[in-house]
Amino acid sequence: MNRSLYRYVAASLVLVALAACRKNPLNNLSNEESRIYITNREATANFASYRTFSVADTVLVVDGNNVQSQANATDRAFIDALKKYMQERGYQLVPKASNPELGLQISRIVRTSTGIVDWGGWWNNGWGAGFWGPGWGWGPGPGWWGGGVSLYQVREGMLSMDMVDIKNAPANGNQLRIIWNGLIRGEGIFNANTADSQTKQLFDQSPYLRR
Amino acid sequence: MTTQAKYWIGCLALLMSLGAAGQPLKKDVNLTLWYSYAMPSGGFKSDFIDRSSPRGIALDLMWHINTQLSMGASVAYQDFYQKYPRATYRTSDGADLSAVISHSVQTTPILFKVRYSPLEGKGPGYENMEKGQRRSLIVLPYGSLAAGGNLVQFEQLLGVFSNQSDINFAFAAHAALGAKVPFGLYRQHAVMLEAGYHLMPYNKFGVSQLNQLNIRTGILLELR
Repeated sequence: MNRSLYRYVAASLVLVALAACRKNPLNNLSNEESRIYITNREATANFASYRTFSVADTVLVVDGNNVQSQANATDRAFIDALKKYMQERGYQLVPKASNPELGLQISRIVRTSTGIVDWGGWWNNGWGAGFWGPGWGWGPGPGWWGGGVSLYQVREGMLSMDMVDIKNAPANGNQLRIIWNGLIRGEGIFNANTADSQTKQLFDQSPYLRR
Repeated sequence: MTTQAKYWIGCLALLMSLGAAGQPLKKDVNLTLWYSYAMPSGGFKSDFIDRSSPRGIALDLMWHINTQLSMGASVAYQDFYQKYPRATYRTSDGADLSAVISHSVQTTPILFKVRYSPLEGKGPGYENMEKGQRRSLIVLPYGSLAAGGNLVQFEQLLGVFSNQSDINFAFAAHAALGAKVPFGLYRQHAVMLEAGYHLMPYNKFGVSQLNQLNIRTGILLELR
């Protein structure tokens, strides 16, 4: 090959190499776009039958088998947003001492490295150490949807909102049933500035959640 | 071997037999580097990605069987990507999932190729000149057929989470019509322009094919 041919080949290779770069989907997502929102409900629950609710004033931090409560600015932003959207759906916010019919608890799930979320594993611990457990005398046991739900590989952590049926606990052998769950996964979840919009998305995709 | 594969191999053989008739055998080797712009078609477009891809390359290494006919290998790469606005989906277990879905597909066909250029060697006085003195026509039309395998990378993401991903190898074929514009001191090189169609059966994740229209421009370099 002569020198001019080398130049042609080199220039062409540079051009085609530039043209062939793969567009990495992960690099084209904003934090908002990176997140997935999953809501689940108990099929038999009649959400219009409940009138009052209360929200735990701390967030549970679930780290494996370790559970702690905290209430920093971001946690409070999520708690406030949850109260706001429950009230917008017609439910009345009352103190815990006023026997609310629904109890709501927010949890952070961190350092989860597998692609499986073992619901039973964390929520029992969470509720046991949380706001509602001790006062209602319920014991540990699997949640209403039973075994684990297969999800995806965790990159940062999750935020979960659980709604329990306090009103019908006596009729259920003092078992608190979780009748609604909202789960947020992805990038930049724990941000006070986006707590409202993230909570709103959970409610937007749960139109049945209405008094 | 599938019926499609047999059909394409038959076409390749037919093209080779047509071009080989009555022409002197030559040993020239040429390399073509392509830039490729591709548009999904058929089920690929309707079921998975409808956005065109400006990210494609190809490389052909061809040997002249005779003046009009050359054959060789072709390797191409095309990257397709599309992001869909956030939407809510019902999962198989009854949950509602809201996500921005991204689809990403990379196709890498590795093909045996035959190119036929009927006016090659028809320049004035061409046949009476030595190789280094030949002058071809300004524009030379050609057609090509190719068949072989296709390395496919396929991924669907929900947000940042991979939902479905797969790498496999499948059949692929390519047909194209184009023109070459020779240049160089002896017009031994050429600028190439062609339009073609990639047939790429694929039967996973509800996607039946990855067929695509290609528009390519490239440079053909005679190596010897």
